[in-house]
Formats: sequence, structure tokens, C-alpha cells
Amino acid sequence: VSPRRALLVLAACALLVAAAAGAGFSGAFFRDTDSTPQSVSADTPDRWLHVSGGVLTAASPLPEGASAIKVTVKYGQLSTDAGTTDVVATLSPGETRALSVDAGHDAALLRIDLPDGSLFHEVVPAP
Amino acid sequence: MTNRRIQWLAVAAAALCVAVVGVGFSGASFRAAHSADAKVSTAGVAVQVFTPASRAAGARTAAGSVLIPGDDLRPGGPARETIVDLHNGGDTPALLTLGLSGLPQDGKGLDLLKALELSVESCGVSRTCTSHASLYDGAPASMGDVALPGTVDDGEHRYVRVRLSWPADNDDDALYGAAATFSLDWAATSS
Repeated sequence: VSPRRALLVLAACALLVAAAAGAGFSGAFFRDTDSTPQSVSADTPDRWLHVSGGVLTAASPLPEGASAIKVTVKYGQLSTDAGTTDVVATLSPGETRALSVDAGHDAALLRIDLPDGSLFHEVVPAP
Repeated sequence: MTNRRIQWLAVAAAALCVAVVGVGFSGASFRAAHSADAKVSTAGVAVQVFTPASRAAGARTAAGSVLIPGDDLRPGGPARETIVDLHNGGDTPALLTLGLSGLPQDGKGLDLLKALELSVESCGVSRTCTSHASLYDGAPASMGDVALPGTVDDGEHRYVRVRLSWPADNDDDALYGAAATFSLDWAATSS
């Protein structure tokens, strides 16, 4: 072994010792993790339509200045238009209409699409 | 120094190097780890996760248990929540953190995790969470590691309330039927 190689070995050892000491005494070893799995899923519209239970009534005041708007039922369904999730009413600006929603045992959500693309929500609580 | 002495010094240093590196990187004497089916704990810290139900039953909430029922969520629907009981089962004080891992990188699952809201509250030593401080409030997809305040001595408990909800304003037809899975990683690090 030449002196030059010996010095290189010494330098490499010094680096390894420093790294090992850093890892061994850094505290990183004193760590414990317990993982618990979590799942989430969104309900699907066909399961949101319920026809049993009591009939709820919700008044949906419309914003001033709105022109004709569309009212759709996102989940739950209008008792007067069973089965439809399309447009169920066309309202004039400022008009308020009582909508009967048969939501079964679940809450219902009315969604009103405004002409400017924004949305107006009203949550109808479960009976 | 003569060449021969330098050579002997190199040989001795190499032997010392092998010994130190072997000890330094072994980790065997300092590491504690949990998995779904096994627990290896020799020293240091050990975090144990309970829910109120599992605590009452005297059983640790093993990895594999879902803490919050997150199925069939609806925009504007009621929040799902649970109070998690964290126990420092090691023999040294520890700092506790909560992180998420395994989130989907794209697709509807990720979109759903951007629409949902995850709330993490520190309840301190209150098992019923009568007093609490907010640690995180936002989309699960955006949450980084959340540190619980203070140090937990060995044998002590801390309580965290985790709530999952779907704000009505984040309603989106495209999310109907979407699903995602991820992990809640409860970690204890020696202080």
C-alpha cells in the first residue's frame, strides 16, 4: 500500500465515522410511527333519491337582480315531480317559491344555478 | 512519519471504521417500530393509538382500523369525527405528530380529497375534548405534518379530535361516486 493510498483510506474512514456518528446519535432512531388507514367515498346520486318518509318544505328566496333561473334538486326529489332531477321550476327575479322535497330520512340539498354560473345552495334538514 | 507507520495507521483506522460504522448504522438497539401484525420495541418511544371504543375494550387500535367512517359522504352532510387517544408507550418523553401518506396523486380520488375538509384539534389531556386548539383545518390533500403541542412523557396520553366533512360549497357533480384511501401516520419522536 502506497502512502498516498493509505492517506486516502484514512480520509475515507474519517468521513464514514463522522456519518455513522451523526446518524447514530442524531435522535432519528428514536421514532415510532403507527399508521391507520383511512378511506373516503362520495355517495352516488341514485342513492340520494328517497321517496319514503315525511315531506319537507323549503322556501328558497332568490337573490335580487337575478333573471330567470333554473332550480334543480341535487339529491332528494320534489314530491310533485317524482323522479326528475332536471329543471323543476323557472322563477322570476326576487320570487320566492315553496318547494316540497321528499327527502325520506335524509337531508336534501336544493341547488339553484344562477345565470352568471354561480350556485345557491339550501340544505333542508332531515325530519 | 515513515511510510510503514502510515500503512499501519491506515489498517488500524480501517478496522476502527468498520466497527464504528457497524454500530452507528445498525439501529437495532435504538429503534422501535409498529406494523399491522407485529411490534418490535426495544427502547426509546412507542406511540399507541386508541379510539374511545377500543380503549374501553382495553385493546390498542391496531393498524388496519379505520378511525373515521368516511363512506357515502355528501356535500353539506354532517361531519364525521372521532377522538383519538395517543399513548406514549415508550420509556422516554416524545413529541407527537400527525401526517398523511399514500394519497392518490391524480384522478377523482385526489379531487375528492381537495373538496373535503379535515379538521385536527388538540384536546391536550382532555379525553372528552372539552377544551381544544385547532392544529389544521383544510383539505386533506394539502395537509403536511402537524405537530401536537408540548412533550408527552412516557406513559402519558394526549387526545386529538379528527373531523372529516364535505362543505356544501365544494359540491361537484364530477365527484359523485369518487373514492380515495390514504393513511394517517401517528408518529412519536424522542424529544
